[in-house]
Amino acid sequence: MTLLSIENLTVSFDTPHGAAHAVRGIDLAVAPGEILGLVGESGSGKSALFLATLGLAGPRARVRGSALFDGTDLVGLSDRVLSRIRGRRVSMVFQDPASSLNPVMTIGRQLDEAIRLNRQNPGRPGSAAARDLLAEVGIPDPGRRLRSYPHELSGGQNQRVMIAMMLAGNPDLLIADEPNTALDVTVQAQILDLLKRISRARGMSIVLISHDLGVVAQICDTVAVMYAGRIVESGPVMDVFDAPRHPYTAGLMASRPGTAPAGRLMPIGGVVPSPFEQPAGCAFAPRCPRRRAACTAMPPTPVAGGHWWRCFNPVEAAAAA
Amino acid sequence: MADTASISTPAAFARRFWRSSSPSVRLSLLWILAMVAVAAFADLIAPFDYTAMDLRNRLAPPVWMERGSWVHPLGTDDIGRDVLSRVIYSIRLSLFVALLGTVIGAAIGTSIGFLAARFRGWVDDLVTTAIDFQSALPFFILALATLAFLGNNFVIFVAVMGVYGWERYARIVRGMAFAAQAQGYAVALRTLGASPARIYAAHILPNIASAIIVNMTLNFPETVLLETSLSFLGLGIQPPMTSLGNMVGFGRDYLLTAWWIAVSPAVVIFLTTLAFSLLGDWLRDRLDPTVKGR
Repeated sequence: MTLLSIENLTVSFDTPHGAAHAVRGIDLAVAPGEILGLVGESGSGKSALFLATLGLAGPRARVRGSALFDGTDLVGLSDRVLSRIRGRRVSMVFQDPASSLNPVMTIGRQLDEAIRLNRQNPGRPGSAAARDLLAEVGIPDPGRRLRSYPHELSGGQNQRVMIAMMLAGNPDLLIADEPNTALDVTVQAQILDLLKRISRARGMSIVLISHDLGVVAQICDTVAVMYAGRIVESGPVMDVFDAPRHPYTAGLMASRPGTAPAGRLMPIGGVVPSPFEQPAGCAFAPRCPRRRAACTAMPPTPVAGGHWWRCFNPVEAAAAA
Repeated sequence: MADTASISTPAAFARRFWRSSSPSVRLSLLWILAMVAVAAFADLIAPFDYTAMDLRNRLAPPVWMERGSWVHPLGTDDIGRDVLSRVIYSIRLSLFVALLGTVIGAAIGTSIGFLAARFRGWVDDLVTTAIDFQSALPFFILALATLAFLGNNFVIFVAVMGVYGWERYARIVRGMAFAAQAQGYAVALRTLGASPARIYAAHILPNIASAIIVNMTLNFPETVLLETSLSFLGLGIQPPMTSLGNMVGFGRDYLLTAWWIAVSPAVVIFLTTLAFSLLGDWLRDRLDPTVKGR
């Protein structure tokens, strides 16, 4: 039973220098009520994947593959049909709450609009619905806040307002694209708690896009690690983090502050491959300490299971622990 | 940001205006308000109808000159029509035409700019080419040609005024709409299921309205000048209707013997366009966050 099932999805962008491959064949499943963490460094295709799924990647994007949402393939749907799915079934929260709200409109008007766009019986503008949403995301004194402008609120409060707007249509899936990055550390934790609480209370699935392993470990049920447009390892969050099998995941774990001895950071050498390249084998092979001859020749097929990875020479479970 | 809540009350607005404006800006605003009042109440203020002739008092001088009288404070023209009354009615017509032309121009330019930003691709190419084409072509020549070929009636004349300056709105709006599309709120609204048309009209437009308003205040005096120039050349407002420009045009023949016929409307044109330009500059400085030290 899955809510969203993405199969062999590829996204490339037409550029003057040729096609830029952002997503190179992704398989991903989200179960109802599940919180999935999607981890990867900048440019690994995390955001492009979901923007493309919702038809928002722009006119230059070429999307192939399928993304079955509740039985409907979202890839190739017309904008008219997609706009009825956006907001009502799938919503998305973005990185920078300050720019995601319209600066010249009150919070109340923007919430009313979100409600009007996505509910069958929106009720009157300024009704209790907007206030209830603000209360749900933990904004104190919601009645007064409805008359505020975004610049009068803090970053954390704006992010809560954003989440409230995205909840207006009672979506089944919320995609949170680095909802924390622009916020203070203490506020980050509050937003994460809020997302987790809402997910549990509403039975709503969340895909949390992040580059922060700590954030993912804190609230996610499962995790998928992306590298250069592919998922290299996926599984229950504790299994993956306790025993990473793909050398990239293992490298990410080792590069976190406070894990290596003597307080030194352990970087992964090398750089991410250019999106214009189409490497024959594993995209991580040039940087991989466990590289073999086969790695540069053909892409590794995933090793099936609840916790799977895409590697010819995985890290041994015992050694990584 | 503490006093943002008080922006909306008229008293606070007036206080902020007083603090941030110079005497020239205050005088400009005063003059513009006076002109608007004159235009609105022309029927009540004007001592005579603008076509009424006083044949025994032809070419009467203004009141402060020898032979002048309070019956015709600004004198009369060659067929004895009261210059003051004609100036008052001309202010009404000239301001009306300029206002109509400015609003039409803003509407056309804004729509075209939005179209370019919305559809991009060949639509955008077409719009940018048209903008460059229009700004390279002296509009006055275009206006003269249009009026000469299509003949002159009030509707065509207002249409020409409306087209004037569209390319500046289109260029500004296109650029700002491109920038606004990249703003998070436009993307966020798309994920909420809002249609592009709705995002443009209800969200991007209010965000760029200040730039459009500033451009309108700068465009308005130019439209006044275009109207008066065309009327001066006899291709604008036609008698018996009267505008500031056609008064100057018909008064030209009497510049040496009865200068007041041409000078009275000319002074009004000068002061009004100056006032609008000063106010527009001030508004632009106020609304443009990159201009410091206000």
